[in-house]
Amino acid sequence: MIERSGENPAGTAHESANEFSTGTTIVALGGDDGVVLGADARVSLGGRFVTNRSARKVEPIGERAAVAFSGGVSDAQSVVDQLRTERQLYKLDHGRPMPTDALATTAGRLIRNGQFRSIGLLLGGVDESAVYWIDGGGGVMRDAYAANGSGMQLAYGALEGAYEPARPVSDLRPIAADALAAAAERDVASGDGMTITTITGEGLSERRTNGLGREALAGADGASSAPDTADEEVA
Amino acid sequence: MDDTRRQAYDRGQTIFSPDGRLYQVEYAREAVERGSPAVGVRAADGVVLAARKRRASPLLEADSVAKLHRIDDHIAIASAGHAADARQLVDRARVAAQRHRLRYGEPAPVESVTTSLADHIQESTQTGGTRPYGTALLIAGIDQNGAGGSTAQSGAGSAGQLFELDPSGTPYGWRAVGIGEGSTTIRESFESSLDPAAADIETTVDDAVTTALDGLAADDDEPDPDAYECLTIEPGPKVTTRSTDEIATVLEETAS
Repeated sequence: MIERSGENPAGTAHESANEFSTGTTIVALGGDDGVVLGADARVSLGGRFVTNRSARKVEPIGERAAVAFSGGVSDAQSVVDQLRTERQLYKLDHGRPMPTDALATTAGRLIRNGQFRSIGLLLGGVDESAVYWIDGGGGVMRDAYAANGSGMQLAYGALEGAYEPARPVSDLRPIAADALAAAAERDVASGDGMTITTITGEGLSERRTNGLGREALAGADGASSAPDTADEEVA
Repeated sequence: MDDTRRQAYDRGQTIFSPDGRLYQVEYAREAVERGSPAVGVRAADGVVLAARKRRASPLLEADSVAKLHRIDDHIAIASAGHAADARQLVDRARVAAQRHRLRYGEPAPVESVTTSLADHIQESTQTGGTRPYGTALLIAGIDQNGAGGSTAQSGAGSAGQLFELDPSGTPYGWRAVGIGEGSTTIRESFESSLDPAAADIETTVDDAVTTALDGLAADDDEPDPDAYECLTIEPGPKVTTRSTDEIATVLEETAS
């Protein structure tokens, strides 16, 4: 995640540096009982100065889906807020929870039509064993697993060898943690800690750590939230 | 006033009659009075909404008639009057609640959703070419700690908030209220079962469910549980729809 450097008018050196590079490493893995999303915890200014070492870059969208983001902080916060709004309105208008594919389509549309320029998302939800890769132009692609952000090549390399389809989320969490550790090892804009979010039929749980890799994850307490009672239908 | 004079003021709701009345708004209130009723009751630990549906035919699917509407995780609305008009207002309330979340990053206070709807309803009584909404609403919900601290309702020892909106666009805060057909009987039932002198509300949500269904049944000779709907909103926020069985049990106790 790259922080925008203040009030630079469009077209300055800082602006273009922000526009073309996205910090962060994010990963998403689909399993047979749910999905795992992970992100590092570093926020930097153009990959040159670390402005935050404990950022949360996986945000729940209700209790049944979550989105991991890379790119500008302001774009990411805005897109997360708008996704939550769209989810809630969908649920109220249709009397059922918003499916993950509809959420991914909406995220793509927000980026395509909106003012967001430097952002990359990964989205996963409980009703699918796949994840969605959403790029800075609003393109949406469904995949078994995905990585995004400046450390994505390193993360993909780690995931390529370790990921296997139809595994339980308990097996996928360490794989996600290791992929983030591999990326943080060489990518300047990634590191400092992790957020690992798991979504299953039981609900959404989040683990945050100060270190990286599966050992750091094993020592972290899981904070889980109860299933969304508001999903109950009303006539 | 004779009929010919009165007709001139009927034509537009934006025209006052000589005695200062807006006939179209009063006719809209009449439309509400003909709609099947809805009630709201505040409790110490929440707020209750209930409604009675009218089934034109046994072939009509009861679920397709909606009197209680979710607005957000912490707000619901009950409506009486023209259902089509109510749907428009419900949609508007949902967007208003989400707009507040987007703009301020917090759940919308119940009163602010109410006043934003009130502003819109009032506009329809003053704009050329429109007609007033033929519906009244009960807006009920739970405010986050600290929010709504300026409202009169937060002082009365209740977590719940309850407002009525009529076709003129005036919001009223209530401890317990009924709208729609038989609302006078229903309000009298509440006035006799609740102690207006008590400064603090001490009733539980379960008590309030009984009070609410009691009030609705006060104007119903043969209460049919299938025609009743009821939901409760408690801190959390937790919205619970009461099942037909639970409603039937309460109605039986009331009848005996």
